[in-house]
Amino acid sequence: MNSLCPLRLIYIMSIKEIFCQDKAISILQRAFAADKMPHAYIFAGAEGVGKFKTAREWAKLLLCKNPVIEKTEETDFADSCGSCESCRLFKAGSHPDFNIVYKELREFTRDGKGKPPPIEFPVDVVREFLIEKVSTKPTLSQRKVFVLGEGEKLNIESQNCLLKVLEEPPEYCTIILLCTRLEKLLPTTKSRCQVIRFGPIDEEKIVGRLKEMGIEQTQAQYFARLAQGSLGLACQWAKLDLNLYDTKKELINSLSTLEYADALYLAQRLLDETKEIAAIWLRLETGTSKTDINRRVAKTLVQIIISALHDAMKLNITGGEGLINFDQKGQIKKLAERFDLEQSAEKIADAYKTLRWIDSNVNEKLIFEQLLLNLAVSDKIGI
Amino acid sequence: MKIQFNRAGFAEALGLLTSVVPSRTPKPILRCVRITAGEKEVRIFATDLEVGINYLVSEVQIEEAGETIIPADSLAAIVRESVDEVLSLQDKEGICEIKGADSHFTIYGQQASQYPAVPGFDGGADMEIGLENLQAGVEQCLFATAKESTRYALNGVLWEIKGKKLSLVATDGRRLVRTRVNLASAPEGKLASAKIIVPAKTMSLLDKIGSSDKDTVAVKLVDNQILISCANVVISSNLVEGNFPKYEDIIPADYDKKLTLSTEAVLSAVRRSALLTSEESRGIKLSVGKESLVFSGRAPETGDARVDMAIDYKAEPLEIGFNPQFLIDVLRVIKTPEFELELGQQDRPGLIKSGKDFLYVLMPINLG
Repeated sequence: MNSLCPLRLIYIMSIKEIFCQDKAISILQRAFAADKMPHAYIFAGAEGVGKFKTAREWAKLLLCKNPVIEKTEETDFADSCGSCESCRLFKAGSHPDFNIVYKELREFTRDGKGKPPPIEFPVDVVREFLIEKVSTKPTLSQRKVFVLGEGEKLNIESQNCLLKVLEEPPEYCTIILLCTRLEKLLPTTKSRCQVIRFGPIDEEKIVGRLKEMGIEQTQAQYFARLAQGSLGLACQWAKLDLNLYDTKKELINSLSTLEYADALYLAQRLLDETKEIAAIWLRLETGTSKTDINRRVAKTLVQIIISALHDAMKLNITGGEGLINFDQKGQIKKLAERFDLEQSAEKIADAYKTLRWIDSNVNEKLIFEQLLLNLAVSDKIGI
Repeated sequence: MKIQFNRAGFAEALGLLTSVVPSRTPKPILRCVRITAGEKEVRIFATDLEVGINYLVSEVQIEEAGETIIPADSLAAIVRESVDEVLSLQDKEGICEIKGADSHFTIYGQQASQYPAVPGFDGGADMEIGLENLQAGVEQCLFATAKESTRYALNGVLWEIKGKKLSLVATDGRRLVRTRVNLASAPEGKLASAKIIVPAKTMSLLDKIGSSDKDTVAVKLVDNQILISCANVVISSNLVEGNFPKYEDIIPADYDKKLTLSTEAVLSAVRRSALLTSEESRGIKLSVGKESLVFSGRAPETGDARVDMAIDYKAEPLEIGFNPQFLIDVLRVIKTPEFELELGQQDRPGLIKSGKDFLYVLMPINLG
């Protein structure tokens, strides 16, 4: 995601301010205290849970000239000082030994002039912004840190190209791959790195953050639950100016009474909606590929549908505690009447399948049609 | 900050500085140069985070000390296109004004604190070399460096210092160059008997500096950086990590087939015999026989070429294939009118020597 854009560096903080990732940070801290740091990490976890922030703060500590070490009961907690020359340049985004490698950098490669932002991680970027840069010694600090974003989008060529460097980087180098889907990485890539997992963020924290952004309670709560622990996603949705929330309300409404005849019509509407939201999203995030954004919106809509099915299932078992769509309980109830437990489970499985199709270049209209036709058919209605 | 400067001098400085400024970079501040005016001197800095230049500008008048960060390409264009002999440059809270007799430009600058530091040359030098000698050495070795190799060390030029000689070695795995340069003074400090690898980009910058042949270059190592100072320019560069291959081992010493050839004639012969080679058959064949040397090249379905040359040679005949481009590269940089070609067997590298100091090892190719 575009959180790698250097402009986001403005929100600089320190390791202490990273929340809900205590386990990941304690693994890092232990390695730091023992001075036994692997040269390559994979930070794995869902989108928007703080992988990039942690990687950035960790890099800041590794590069800092006077790290501050605080003794605690279990292990020492190290953090960057925030005031040395290294930290100062880091904050300004021009630290010579800190490199963020992301796929949109293709624009800046030798042959990349005028090319649109890529969908996959191109090998040119890996070559020019990682492999070539690894070889020169650090300028300011004792180490050099490379953070490679969206590792799940590395294609096979790019990964193969990385292997040699991951296997044996120069001793002063630390490489951090960020990855949301570990299964997309080759076994050869994974075996060369230490994997650190990042868990979901606390719902309360997300609600709190959204409210700070001026989102009212019901919506904040809804987005927090839909995001399933991804603070980044929730914030992005919230930034879309109510659009998404209204869409979701309508969508759940239509779903609850979806009939076979309406399915195609609704699919078309979803498609239009996707384009509309994507256009707004694109304005918030210039520089990201249009296809990427389109896919993200389409996935969000499918996720909304999944959340409704999920709720229907939950309602059948527990009777309505902790629903994602708590604000539209009536509609969920109707849905729950139509699908029993087993059916909902099946539909959810199908919907997850369509989520994967979105990433494999399947026509979005077909995806929505298939999904909704499938949902309209129900034994109880008897078609 | 407010200064008056001579346009021509400034244009010359910017010419060198812009060669370091990256034309496209995700870090916009690197597209700027930093200008500082102290009590007595004005310096301009440029860096791409690997190589930096610190340039002392002459013929300036300082009215008010200070500093400014402005986009290099806009500044260079303004200075280049202006017609005045003297221009004035003034920085007011990040906004930079350049004034000529009839022109007035305003450029928006950036925050000075964000600009990465570019070191200057403080203290004495560890080593001194005549600029002319060094530039000749750079020209002779730079072409053989590897491009984008994952064997990092090959992307640079090895500097090996022994006594009062500096050996420059470059290889890309298929050929190797070693040339020696005389030092002006015996090296001191960390540099004495040091082995360092300098990036090819830095080496190519050395070709662009200096005004007179008599200039000397001062060199110093600080942390992981090499500082090279010449006249009013200081180049700072990161060093390349890694171990350079043990190149001495591959320089053959047991060859008995030795030929002395004319540089110009061989260059022409290689060029002509390579005219009909194609992508698939990129090699040319050198057939050494009694009193004759034949260069031949052929490409299937195109035709073949043959160039004869009379030579003074009496030992055993031999046929060997080479990549013509690799021969052309080296023949272009050989300064002497004649060079020595030494050969062993068909499957062993060829050795080219020119004078005492220049040596080139070239792997043969199999012509099937």
